[in-house]
Amino acid sequence: MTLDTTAAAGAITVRDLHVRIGEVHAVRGIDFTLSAGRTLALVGESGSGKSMTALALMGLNPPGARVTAERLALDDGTTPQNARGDRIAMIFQEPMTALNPVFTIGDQLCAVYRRHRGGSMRAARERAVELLDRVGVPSARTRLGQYPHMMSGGQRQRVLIAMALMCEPDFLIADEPTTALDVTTQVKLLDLLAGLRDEFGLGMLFITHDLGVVARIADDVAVMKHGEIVETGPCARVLTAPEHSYTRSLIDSLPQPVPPTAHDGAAPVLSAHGLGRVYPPRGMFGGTPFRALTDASLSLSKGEVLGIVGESGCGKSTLARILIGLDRPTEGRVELGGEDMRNLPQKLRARRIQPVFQDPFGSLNPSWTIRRILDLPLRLHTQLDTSARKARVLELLKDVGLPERAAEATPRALSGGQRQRVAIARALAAEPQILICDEPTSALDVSVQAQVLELLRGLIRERDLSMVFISHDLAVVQAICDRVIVMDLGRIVEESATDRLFAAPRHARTQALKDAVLELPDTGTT
Amino acid sequence: MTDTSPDTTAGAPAIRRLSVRKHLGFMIGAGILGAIVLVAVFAPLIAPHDPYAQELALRLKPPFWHDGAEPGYLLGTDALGRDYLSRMIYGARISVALSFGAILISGLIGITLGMVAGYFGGWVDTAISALITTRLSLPVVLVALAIVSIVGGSLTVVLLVIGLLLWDQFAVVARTATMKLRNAEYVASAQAMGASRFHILTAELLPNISAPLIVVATVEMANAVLIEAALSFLGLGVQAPLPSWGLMLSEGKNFMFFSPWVITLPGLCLFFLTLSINLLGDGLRDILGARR
Repeated sequence: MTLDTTAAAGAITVRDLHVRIGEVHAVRGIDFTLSAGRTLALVGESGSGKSMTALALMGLNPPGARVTAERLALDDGTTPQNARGDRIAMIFQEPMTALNPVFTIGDQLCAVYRRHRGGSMRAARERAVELLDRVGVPSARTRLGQYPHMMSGGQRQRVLIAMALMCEPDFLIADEPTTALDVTTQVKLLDLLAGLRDEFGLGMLFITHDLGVVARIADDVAVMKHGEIVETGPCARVLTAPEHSYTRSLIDSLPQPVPPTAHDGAAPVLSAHGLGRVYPPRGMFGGTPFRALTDASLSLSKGEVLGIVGESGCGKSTLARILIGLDRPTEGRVELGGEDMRNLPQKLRARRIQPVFQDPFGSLNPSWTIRRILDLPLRLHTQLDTSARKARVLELLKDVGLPERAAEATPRALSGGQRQRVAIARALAAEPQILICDEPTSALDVSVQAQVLELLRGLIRERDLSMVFISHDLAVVQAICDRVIVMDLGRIVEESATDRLFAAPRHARTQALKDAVLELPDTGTT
Repeated sequence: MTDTSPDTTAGAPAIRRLSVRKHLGFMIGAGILGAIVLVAVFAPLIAPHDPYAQELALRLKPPFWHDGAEPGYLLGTDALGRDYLSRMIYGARISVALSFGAILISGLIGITLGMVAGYFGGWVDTAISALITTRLSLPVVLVALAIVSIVGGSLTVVLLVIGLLLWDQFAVVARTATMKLRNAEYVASAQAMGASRFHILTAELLPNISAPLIVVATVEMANAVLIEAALSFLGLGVQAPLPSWGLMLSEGKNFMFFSPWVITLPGLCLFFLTLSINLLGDGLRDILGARR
C-alpha cells in the first residue's frame, strides 16, 4: 500500500450554524466539533435539519439557502468551499443516482483525482484500482471500464466510498450511506467504513435516522430535532442513559418483539400452492427468461400475521403481487377461502383481500382529495348512498387516527405517516378479511413506524383480520408477526413461528439476516 | 392526532410557486385570447354592419386614419364594398370555432390512442406507435390540400381534416406520460380494488397527465389557426363569402399595392391570435410545471 496513512490530525469546528431556506429556519444555531479519527453521528427524523447541516459542511447549499455561522472552518481556517472534494469528501444516500450513468467507473474516479491532484491518467487509474481493492470491489481493474448500471447497489456505494477517498481527505461526510441497501450489505459497509476511518485517521460525520447504525459505528452522537441539537455525548452513554426526553422517545420507538400467537388447526383463509413466476425474455431476439419465484407454498389462518422476509430481489414482492391478484403465477395456484383465485371475479377478490404499499408518496393519487380516495372503494363495493358514504369516510379516518378535516386535503398536504394511514383506511374501506402489506413502514421515521405498527396491531385485533406482512427488517417483523417465512433467490427457505425462528435459525440466509440486525447496547433496564 | 412527524413539505426547500397573476406572458396571452373569444361570441352585437352587405359605390375605402375615409366605416371596405371591421369581427368566429373544434377532435383521438398504447403496452403499443409514426411522416398541409381539393372546401371539411391530422403530438405525449405512471402504486391500488380499466385510465391517470396535454393543446390550436388560414388563402379552405381571415388575405392580395390595409389588418389579427395562444401555452407550461 502506498496510501498515505498519516492524514493530518485536526478538526472541523462548527459554532452557531444557521441555515435558512426561504421562510424555513432549517438549522437553528448548532455547535459541534468533528475530530480526526472519530465518528460523530448526527441522528434525527426527517426534516430535523441533519442533511442541511451536512451540505453546509460541504459548502454545498441548495439554491435560496442562507448559511450563517460564527465559525465554520478547518483548524487552519480553510473554509468548506475550498476544502471540499479534496480535504472533505462526501458519500450520498442514493447509490443509484449518485454516479453518472454515461461515464465509466474509471472515468468518474479519475476525474476527481486529476481535478485536485493533477498528474497523469495512468497514476490516477493506479490509485483507483488500489482503492477499489481496498473497499472490496472484486476484480478492480476490469471494473474501471464498466458503467454504473452494471453494478449492484452495494457495489456502487463501495465505488462512491472509493471516489470519496481518492484525494486522501481528512474528513468524510456520509449522509445515510446505507439506508438504500439491504440489511446484510449495510452491516458490511458499516464495518468497511469503520475500518477505513481507523486506517486513514478520518474524521467522519455520519448522518442517519437509525439508532442501530449509530450503535454500530459512532463514537459520539448528536441528536437533532427541529434544527437544534437536543442532546450530545459519547455513543454508549446517550444510547443507554439518554438525558433528553426526545432521545428517550426515539429509543422507545424501536420495534419491540411481541410474543407470537399460534393459529394452528384453523382452516386457512388464504393459501398458495407451488407458486412460480417466470418472466419472458425482454427484447426481440430472445434472451433468457427470468425466474422470480419457484415453488412457493404458504397458508394464512384467520387472525394470523404472516411475515415474509428477504433481501431485495428475493421474490417477496412478486409473491405479494400474485397474492393480491395484480400478477398471475405461471405455475401453481392461490386459494382464497378454499376457492381458486382464478375463478373469482375481480370484485369479489377485491372485497376479501386488499394491499397496503410501501411508498406513502406513490400510493395515493396526487390529484384526488382524501375523501375521493376513500370514497372509491365504498362506491365499488357497497350499496351505500352519497351521504352514508360521506359518514363512512369520516369513520374510516377516525379508525386510523386522522382528523376529519383531512378528508378535504390532497395527499400533498399530508406527512408520510399520515399518508400511510390513509392508505390503510382505503384498504379497510371494503372490509376485507386479509391485508397484504408490502414494506408498509420502511419509508417512515421510527416514531411514525411505531405508531403505524401499533395501528395495524389494533386493527387486526378489533376486526379479526389476517395479514401478510412483507419486510426486510427483522426487528419490525418480530414486533408484529406470528409466523415468518424467509425467502432467498425466489424460494422459501425457512418457515417457523417468529420466536422460534430467531432463537434457532436453521438456514444460512436466516442466520445472515439475523446477524444483520443492529442492536442497541443493553441498557440493563429491560 | 397522534401523528407527530413534521409535515414533509415544511422541511423540504420551499419551491417558489409561480402564481397565475404574476406570470406576465400568461396574463397578456389570456387577455388577448379572451378578448378575441368575446368578440367572436358577441359578433352580431358588436359589428357595425352586415359583413355580407355589398356597397359597390364604396369599394376599397381606406381606414379612418387615411384621407378619404368614409364615415361609419372605421376600418374601410374591401373590393366589394363590404365593411372591413365587421368582416374581421365575424372572421374571429371562424378562427375560434375552428381552432377549438379541431383541438377537441384531435385531442380526443390523440389522448385516447396515446393512453391506450402507454397503459397496455405490448402489441397494442406497437400497433399504435406504428400509426403515430405513419401520421408523423405525412406533411399536414399537403395532405390537407389533397383531401380538400378532392372533397371540396367548406368549414366542416376543413375542421374535420385539421382535427383528424393534428392528433400526433397528443398521442406521443399521452403515451409517454401514461407509461411513466402506469406502475404507480395508486394505480395498483385501484386495480386491487377491482376498479375497471376505464376508471383507471380516465379517473386515476388522466388528471395526472393533464398538465403537458394542456400545453400541447395550445400549440396545436395555434397550428390549426394557421393551417386554416393557409388553406383558405390557397382557395381550398373556407369558401367565399364567409369572412375567414385567411380568405380575406387571399381576396386582398390583388389590391395590396394600393390598398395595403386589406392585407395587414387580417394579418395582424392572425398574428395576435397565434401569439396569444402561444403566450398562454408557455405560461401554462411554467405554472403547471412548477406545481408538479
